Amino acid sequence: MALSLNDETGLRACTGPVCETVPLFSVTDPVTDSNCYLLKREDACVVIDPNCFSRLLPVLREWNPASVLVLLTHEHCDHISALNALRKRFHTITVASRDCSLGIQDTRLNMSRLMETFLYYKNGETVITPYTPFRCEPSDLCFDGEIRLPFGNEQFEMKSLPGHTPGCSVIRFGGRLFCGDYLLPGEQVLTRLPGGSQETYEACARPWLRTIPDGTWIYPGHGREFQMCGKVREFHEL
Amino acid sequence: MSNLETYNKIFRSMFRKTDEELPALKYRGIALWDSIGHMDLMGELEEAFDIRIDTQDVLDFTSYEKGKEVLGRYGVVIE
Repeated sequence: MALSLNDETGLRACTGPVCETVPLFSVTDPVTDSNCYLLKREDACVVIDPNCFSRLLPVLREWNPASVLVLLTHEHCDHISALNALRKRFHTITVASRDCSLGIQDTRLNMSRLMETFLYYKNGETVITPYTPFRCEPSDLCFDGEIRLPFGNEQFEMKSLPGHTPGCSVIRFGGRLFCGDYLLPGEQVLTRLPGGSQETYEACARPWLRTIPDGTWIYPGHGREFQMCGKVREFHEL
Repeated sequence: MSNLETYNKIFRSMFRKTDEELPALKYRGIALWDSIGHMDLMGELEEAFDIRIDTQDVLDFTSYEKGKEVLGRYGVVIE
């Protein structure tokens, strides 16, 4: 089956560093607008923030990977809603910070318990979108601080960066940075959701985000990818 | 601690108000009680009273006083 690329319902090929050897794709969840990122190399693939199983399944069926490495930027339900189904259907290894692993097991911390309300407010307070609370099993591999994961000749680097949630991480791969719900285009970071902390954001996340070099390709948890530049720094006060 | 004390403690802590100021509190009446604050409030109340508030009731919870009525639907009597 040929996968549809760059249409509104299918897989989208992301823009990124010219020298990058592993192509990057994204899938956007129509309910929450969250992004899931996918990379494939030979018979392995990486899924960052599995969000919408019905959209991921055709892609993974086509790729038919021997294993799927699942990396989580944080514990919120819009970034993990396909995790349970992925684990049932494929051989997966899930990696997350220790706090993220705890958060995905809790319907309050993963926000699935109040997601209907969140979506109601987000969508202009007109329609209640049904959203069933869920929890996930712990991640297969937990880390504190940082972890490096080989992928072919390259590696993923995950760094714990709490603030938006206790379990937030950023993920580096080559010249790319997957930043979860930090640096969202046109949206200030939220630190008032369950488990979030403005103090922790100021102490941990903001100082680190300031160190991102200009020109770095940023892949946010919502919205399109972009390159770090002065305007982004100004908007996010970095 | 009585249900009323627990209820008031959560409101005081979340919205930085005194007991005397609580009865006048309304959703979106103060900056801290916006949609994000409201979800946080619901989470705290659910945890404190070990209940799961339906979305329609979350939306019906429009003030400190109305909240007492809403919690009553879950067998939590605030008096």
